[in-house]
Amino acid sequence: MATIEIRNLTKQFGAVQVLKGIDLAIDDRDFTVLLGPSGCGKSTLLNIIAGLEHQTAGQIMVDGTDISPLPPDKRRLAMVFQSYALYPTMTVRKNIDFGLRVAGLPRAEIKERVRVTAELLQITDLLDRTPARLSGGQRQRVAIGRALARRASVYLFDEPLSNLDAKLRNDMRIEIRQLHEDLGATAVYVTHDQVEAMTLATRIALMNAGRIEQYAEPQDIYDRPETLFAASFIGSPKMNLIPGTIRLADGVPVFDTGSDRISLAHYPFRLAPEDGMPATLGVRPEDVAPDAQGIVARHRLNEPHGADTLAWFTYGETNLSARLEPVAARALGAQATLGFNLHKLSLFDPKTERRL
Amino acid sequence: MTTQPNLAMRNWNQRVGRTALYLVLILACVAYLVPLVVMVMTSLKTAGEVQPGTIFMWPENPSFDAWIKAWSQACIGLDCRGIRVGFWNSVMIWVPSLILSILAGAILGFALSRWQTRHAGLILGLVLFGAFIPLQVVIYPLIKMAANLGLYNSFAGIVVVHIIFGLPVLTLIFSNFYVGIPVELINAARVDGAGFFRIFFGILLPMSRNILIVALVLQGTGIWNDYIVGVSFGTPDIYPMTVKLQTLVGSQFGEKEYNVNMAATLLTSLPPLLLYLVSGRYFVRGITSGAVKG
Amino acid sequence: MPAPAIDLKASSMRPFLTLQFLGGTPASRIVVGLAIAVALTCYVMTIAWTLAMSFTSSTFLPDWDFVGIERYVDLFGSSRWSVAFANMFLFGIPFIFLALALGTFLAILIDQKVQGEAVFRTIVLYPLALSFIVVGLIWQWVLEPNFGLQTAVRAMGWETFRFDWMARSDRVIYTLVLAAVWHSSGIVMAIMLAGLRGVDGEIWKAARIDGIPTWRIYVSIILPMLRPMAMTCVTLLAISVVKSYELVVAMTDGGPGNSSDLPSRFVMQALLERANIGTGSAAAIIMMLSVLVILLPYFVIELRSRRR
Repeated sequence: MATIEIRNLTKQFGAVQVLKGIDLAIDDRDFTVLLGPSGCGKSTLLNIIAGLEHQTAGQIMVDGTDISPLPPDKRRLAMVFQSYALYPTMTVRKNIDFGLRVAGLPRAEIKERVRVTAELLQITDLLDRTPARLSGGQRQRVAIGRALARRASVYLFDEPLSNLDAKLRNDMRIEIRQLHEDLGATAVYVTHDQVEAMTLATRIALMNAGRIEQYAEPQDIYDRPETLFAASFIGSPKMNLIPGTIRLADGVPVFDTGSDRISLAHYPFRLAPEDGMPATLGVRPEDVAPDAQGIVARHRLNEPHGADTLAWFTYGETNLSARLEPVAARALGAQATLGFNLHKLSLFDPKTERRL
Repeated sequence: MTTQPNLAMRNWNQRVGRTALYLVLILACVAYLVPLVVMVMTSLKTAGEVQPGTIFMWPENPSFDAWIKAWSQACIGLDCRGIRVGFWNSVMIWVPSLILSILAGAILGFALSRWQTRHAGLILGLVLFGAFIPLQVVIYPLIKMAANLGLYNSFAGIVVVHIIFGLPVLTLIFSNFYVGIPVELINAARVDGAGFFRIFFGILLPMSRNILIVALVLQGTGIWNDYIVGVSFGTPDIYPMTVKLQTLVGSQFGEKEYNVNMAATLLTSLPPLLLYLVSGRYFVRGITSGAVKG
Repeated sequence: MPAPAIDLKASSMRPFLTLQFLGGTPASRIVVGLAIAVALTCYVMTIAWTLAMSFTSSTFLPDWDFVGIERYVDLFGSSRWSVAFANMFLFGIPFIFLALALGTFLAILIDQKVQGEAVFRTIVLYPLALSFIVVGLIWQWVLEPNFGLQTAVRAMGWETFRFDWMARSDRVIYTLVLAAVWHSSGIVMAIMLAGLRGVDGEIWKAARIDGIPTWRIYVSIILPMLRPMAMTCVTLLAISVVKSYELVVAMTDGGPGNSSDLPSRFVMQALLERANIGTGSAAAIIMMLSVLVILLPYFVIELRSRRR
């Protein structure tokens, strides 16, 4: 129903630049998650899209028109807040239809929308209660209901699940995903929880220090992180990062850790590599396994997770982790030789911190 | 077994301590109550009974004659309609002053609580400054301004002065309260399309019950008890009850009718006393919240 | 691609106000603008006017004939003002001290988990709900030597009992102290009680384990912790001293003679009865300065604690 295009958006609070030039093009019906550590500017960006704060410079285009001068309610969007922000003195019904009443919709229309929304979210029984008499999960539903009743073309979510307990959070995650698919609206969702981001998003905009590090599908970011930050922020535990140098042996690139050499024959370099170039090698824990041919590392401890076990190693100065079958992990001795899945490596330039 | 006498001793000491504690407290309360009791007793006496040195004596034939006289017959100057004239004047001043000053304080408090920059503190400081100004410093120019605007000697004029000088403390109380309201709640209302006044009247005001009671008690007693504004901005026709009372007591010729005077005093004190007794802890919160920050 | 910078905040609209109401709604600007206008005209301009008048020779009507500090010289040369000004201290200092001591003492007593606490609190606080006019009248009657206390005690058999301070020009000011303490000690009690309730219970436990007697815990540990509250009380009471007008009007009307006059009453009389605007304004300015002097330490402490 709506595309969003953000162009060179900046936000300055006094001397502090919170957003340093954001460019982002969100497709129609996309579910974009703004993911990043606290203070990265993701909530500010969301608030600016909502019109609750104003950018210092830059544009926000929705379906090709700049909505920057419009007040929040004229932007055809709805928002769900972290604290739910339900109006405490109003019943659930009043909470849901407040915006519709302000907009001056006909009474019958308002009634119908409240009914449909309440049925969709199964909160019909709660309509005459006040928020104080609702459980956390119910409040969450009402908050979503209030947003849905607006029939907006863009839905904004500001960490809506962070006040729920773990189980409820999982349920609501599935429900939000289902709702998005049913409604087919464009959604922008802020969170610092990467699991939430991975499961909900059609695309993740990974933010750090006021910039977007990478905007891609979740699996893409996971498999091919564009920057060192993306590599270490996404994935738990984070991607193993090993410093070293790129060597060309008879024209074939290898990664030299100082003590070992790892073949880069399968690595899709963007620019032809040069001999002696410093680089950082990244490899996910699940792409590390005991291998007779590999590097020699000291085994420190095992961390069982049930389905698999994380084995922790020290290699030179760096810590390495490997996600192993529990049996394989138990079989490890004090020294282990480890091999990497050579098709799934990442390489970064340590100076620019970008993918090579 | 050896600890037994010790324990008994301790219990005994404790009991003596508690008894002394209650004794002192009760004595203090008696002291606080004496003036009020004297007033009530004297007001119930007949004119003949009110003799020098009998203030602590119980009335022999308690009657409300003095109260009736004070209310509807006592002469204040040449006007012999009693203190009730002042009562109704006070009501005419009290109701609009109370409603308008609280509304003004609440709206301004809300506005200031949402301004983000340090200027908000500066403006609050400027407004708050008004709480500390002795009325004497500004009264002459204010009377002149009121006269120029045609507000001198009108209920409206007195109401306006009450609003202006109630504003500082009320603004502070409300702004402190509204600062604690989550921004998200206001943002949600803005996404719903509500403007400043819609947010205030539709969402914040219904949430402000407690703080409204605090303001009501604080302003309610303050405005009812005012003397200086009433006497300076009005003439006898519109004098509030406190001024009428002072005139009544001060303008008697010949024999002083103490029983009538005290009945009039009690009548004047009744509204704020009732407000105080009904509001309980809100009164304490009112005077301290107005005070602590001020 | 350089995007054109949009100035949404319309900085040209607010030459001196760089405020933001989140989105900057016009309504909130109007509200705050109005408040500033009211504060400037009714608080600032009026004071400026009085300040200006205090440097003129105005008597019956304000005129703009500036005479420098002549009015202040006159003021402090006049015996009436000297009495009123001195009375501010003779009344204020014992009043603040006694109200603070009594209020704190009562707060400590009430804090001992007494039964019927609400009743005690209600009784100690009720005078605060009364108008100073009422307070003044009540105490005038109780303390009036012929009608009240003195004759009553004599009638009970103590023939030589003497308490005629109301009629003595050297003592009358202390009767005002009595009435004011009766009226205001309740607020000290309320503030100090709130402070006592705010003390961390573990401090009590720690002191008990150290074997410190209860009175000592109060004197050495708890009361020093309540210094900010005491400070608040002192500031509050001191300002009420400068402002107190109704009490003296109702209770003694400055008498006998002018022996219980206070600056507030002096100003009102000079301005409205004795048609001496210049001198009245000068006295009013002294009142304002007194308030500022009282507030000064409060602000200094506030600023210092904020910087930390």
